Amino acid sequence: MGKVLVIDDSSFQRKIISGVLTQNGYNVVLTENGKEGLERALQEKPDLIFTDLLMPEYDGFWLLEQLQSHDLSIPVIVLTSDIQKTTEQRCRGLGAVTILNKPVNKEQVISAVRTILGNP
Amino acid sequence: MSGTAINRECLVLYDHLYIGVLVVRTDFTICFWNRCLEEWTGIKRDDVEGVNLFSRFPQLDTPSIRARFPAVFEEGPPVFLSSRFHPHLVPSPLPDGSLRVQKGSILPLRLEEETFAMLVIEDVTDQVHQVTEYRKMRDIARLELDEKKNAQVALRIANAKLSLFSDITLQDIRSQVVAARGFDHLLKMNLSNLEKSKSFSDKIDHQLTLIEKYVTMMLEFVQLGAAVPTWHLLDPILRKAKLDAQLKNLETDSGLEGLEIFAPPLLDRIAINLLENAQQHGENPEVRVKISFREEPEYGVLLVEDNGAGVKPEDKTAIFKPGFGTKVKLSLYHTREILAITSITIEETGCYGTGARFEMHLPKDTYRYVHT
Amino acid sequence: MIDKDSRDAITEMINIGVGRAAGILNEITGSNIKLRVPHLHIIRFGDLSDAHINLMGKERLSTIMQEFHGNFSGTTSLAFSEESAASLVKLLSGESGPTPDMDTVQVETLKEVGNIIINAVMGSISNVLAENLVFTLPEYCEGNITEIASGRHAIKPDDWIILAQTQFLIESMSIEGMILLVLEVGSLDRLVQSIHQQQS
Repeated sequence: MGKVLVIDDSSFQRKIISGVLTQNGYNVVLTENGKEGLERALQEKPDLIFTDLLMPEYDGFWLLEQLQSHDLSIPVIVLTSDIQKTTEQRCRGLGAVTILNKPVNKEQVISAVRTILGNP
Repeated sequence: MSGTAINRECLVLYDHLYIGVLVVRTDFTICFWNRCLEEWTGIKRDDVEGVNLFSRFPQLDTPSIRARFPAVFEEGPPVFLSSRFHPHLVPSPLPDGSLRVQKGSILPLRLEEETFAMLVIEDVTDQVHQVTEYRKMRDIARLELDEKKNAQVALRIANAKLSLFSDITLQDIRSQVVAARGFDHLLKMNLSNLEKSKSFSDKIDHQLTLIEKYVTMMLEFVQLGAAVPTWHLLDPILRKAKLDAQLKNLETDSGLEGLEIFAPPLLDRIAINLLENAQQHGENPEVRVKISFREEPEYGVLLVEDNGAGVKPEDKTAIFKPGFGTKVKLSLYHTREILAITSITIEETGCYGTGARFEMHLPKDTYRYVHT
Repeated sequence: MIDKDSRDAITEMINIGVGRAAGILNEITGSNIKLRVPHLHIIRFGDLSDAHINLMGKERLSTIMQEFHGNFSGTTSLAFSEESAASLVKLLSGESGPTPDMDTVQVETLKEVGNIIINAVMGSISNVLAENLVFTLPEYCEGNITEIASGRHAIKPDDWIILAQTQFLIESMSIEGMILLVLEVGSLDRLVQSIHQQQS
């Protein structure tokens, strides 16, 4: 069963994403910010990370940089409401595999996860 | 509905309006192009219906337009496109070769179970032209108003020059001249007495030195005090004034940070004058001076307060009259006249026994905050 | 009163909308614009206090408003102090000179800015509600918060108002605005219900 780490400062967003993933058989770990997210990633070694971009203090960019510097080759899906090409380029440059624009729907989430992990 | 065909009966009304209307499908194929657009662009509907909107009009293929269509196709809120950011949605030349200035809206259109996006384009060329002309006139009016203000300031400067010339300084000079004439008369009467002659000659010399001193001071004050006002950052002026006045205890509040005052160049002398007043008239060697600034609806208030003896009630008006006080270089009379050049007023509002309080009222256009 | 999760959800929906709007504004203007929603107030119109009314100061506000109708109705507005509105428009238009009164072209520019933000926020909320609403085109008006909230309809004391204080960070300048969402009685309950359904 695939383990997915979900990092978002919005409890609403965490519930939506984790709900979809759990319903589809994935094991979900939740955190609220980039710093906690990095700690859990180092501990739990998830198969995939979903991260929000804009979070207070330790944001998604920080997390992507830290994952690279720790040599953690865990695929990352970035969730953001920022639709600018420059943001997408920056995320991909930092190793993000997929960028999903908020608000995401369930189909988009599952399709992105299955593309990376396959079915659970 | 198949291909590019659309039920024109529903849209025939738009052929009679003097606004541009085009309708696109969800794949951005143009399926309706009204008569007004034909007229404006010279592009016939047969040449454009069935063609992709963005390949035919690449200037519309920007994220700020394209990204806003999907919500419309989902029958979400309409999109507004201002003339400032999208002045030429569909290039439409005028007879003089310039392009029509346009504004637009993108609205959902539901026809026979299918949702389209309707782009409605209005010609606002005349409106924008009027606004541009209005702005030019407004800028000219502003310039004239500034020139009038400068002329008023210049007039006040001229009046200030006259008043600075007046009374005390001229009285002083006259007194010295009268004294010099007196000594000159005595000298002539005692020419045979060498010792007395020398004494009277020395006294004449002394009077001439005093006259020279008053004239020099007057010229300096007239030149500097009545020179063109400029913006002065208050903080460094106060720091220097504290040193020059040898004042030990000066407290300034945060309202003074970044504060600039529009006044003639003698503002630093005025600051020294006020601090020296506190030092020398406060009857307290450890006198403390506090300077603060606050904004009122109509003006700013600059306060210089001390914990010295204060000003006696009977002197409150007199201190601003010519000739009052001898201990400081620049009198309160001159201070008031110089500040008046830019319409800043000063009065003493303290309580005798608890300290002097000089309150200056600054009109709104004589102070501002700058980032330092 | 609404529960913490629902409040968080509404905050997130507005943040998403505002984030999307910033992206579009950046593309249009070429300026580096960030939008933040630092504070959210959710109150009944009848409970609007002076503190709420004066959140944007005591002056009249320059406002862009769009009404919506459907299974529930209300208005969404973006409000600025007059001076902030003029400054924002000048900054986004790249104009210089003293801040003028808003002329017609500047009002139109503000309408587009308001439309981008309002559409993004309402798009975000409509997604959750899965409701079809009909919206009006943006209109410009002036007034205080009470007048703006009232709009053209007789607002009732039990109608809900969501006040989202918004910061526009453009280059080194920060301009304060306010998103006002007026939801008629029952609409907020429906929104909260939809939020719970989404989460379950």
